Amino acid sequence: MLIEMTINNEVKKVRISNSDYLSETLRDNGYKSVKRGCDKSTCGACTVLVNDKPVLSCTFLSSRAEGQRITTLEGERDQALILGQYIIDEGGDQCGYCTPSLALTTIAMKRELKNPTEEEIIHYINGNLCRCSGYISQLKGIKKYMGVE
Amino acid sequence: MLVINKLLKPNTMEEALRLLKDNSKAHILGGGAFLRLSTDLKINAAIDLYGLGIDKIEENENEFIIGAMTTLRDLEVHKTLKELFSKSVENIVGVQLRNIATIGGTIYPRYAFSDLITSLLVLDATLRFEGKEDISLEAYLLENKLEKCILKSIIIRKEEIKTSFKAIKNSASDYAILNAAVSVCHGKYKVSVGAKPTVASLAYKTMSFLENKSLTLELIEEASDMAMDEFTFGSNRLGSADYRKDMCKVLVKRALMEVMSC
Repeated sequence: MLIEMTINNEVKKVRISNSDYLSETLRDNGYKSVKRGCDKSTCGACTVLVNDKPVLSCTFLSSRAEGQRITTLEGERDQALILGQYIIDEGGDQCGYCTPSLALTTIAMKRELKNPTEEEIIHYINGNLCRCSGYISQLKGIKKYMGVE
Repeated sequence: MLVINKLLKPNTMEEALRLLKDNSKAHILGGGAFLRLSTDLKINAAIDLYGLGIDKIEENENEFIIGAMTTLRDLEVHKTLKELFSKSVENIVGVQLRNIATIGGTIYPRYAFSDLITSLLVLDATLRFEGKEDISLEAYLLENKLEKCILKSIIIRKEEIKTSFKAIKNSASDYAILNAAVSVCHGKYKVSVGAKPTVASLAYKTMSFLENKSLTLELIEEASDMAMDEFTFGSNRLGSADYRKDMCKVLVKRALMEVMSC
């Protein structure tokens, strides 16, 4: 079927099947920041924003994206550059596979939570698994981006 | 691999019910997170409830009306309901999954591992199905043969109620090995235990024993002993029946103590 959705502020017509997940649809249409990780709703690598809320695109049927506003990291370049620099400065970027999803979740968190505590930040991003950084450096960078001491 | 041959997207609840009557074996898609619980799933027909407008939490003077498609994240952050539910939903995977998984999608299939069902049982939740009479969650969980129907909302009465939820898990975001919830409202206690590993149920003897009594440490000790003898526990990869029985006493005791200290 052919559906219409807004991806990164651009209205797009996309051909999908009933069983497609949004992660596949987005990657097939060139949005490569969306990673395929576990494909089991666990690792968070496929995170995208649907109407500004972070969701696992590996678990979100593409048909449900019809008429919705989808944001991938390609649509958040400015914020990604700022956040990315904070994470790099802390040595928190290693293989980089999980970084786009972590960045997108963090950008959504900044818009959703006002003056979060460290505990609230950890709780919000704990659905993003990273196998190389150990989280501490990433957290330091994210706290700086959030303006939290 | 997921295969959905026919995807039906109704525009109204009436249409959804009509489609279900015409396709009695159709799967009903709530949040849809269950699709990832299977590695190889072939669905002939699916009725998708997404976009039907039943994803809001409304309230009137006496009750909260929670749309069946309300996400677990919306429950977690709701200004009033978070007091009742946040502990039973906040550790389910991550924010990204809780923005997909729904309250209806948890209740309708009666997931035995559910923390949320255990919490809802002690709140006397009522289920509202399209085209059917309301039924209590308690009765719904006890029904042997379920007729396919469409869950529209979950009703929670507004009452002066104290609640506590406890669970034991291998890690914070894992399935519970066992969970328990307690509530007290006007001297009436409710105690539920779930993930036994069967679905949550109420501890009727314990509840009747506690009725209209003021909690003391001795009473709590006696009640938690009673609760662990009231259920039949089973074994699975997460824990043995004996371990669950022992933990039942601990969780019920801790929940009662928390309610006592409120």
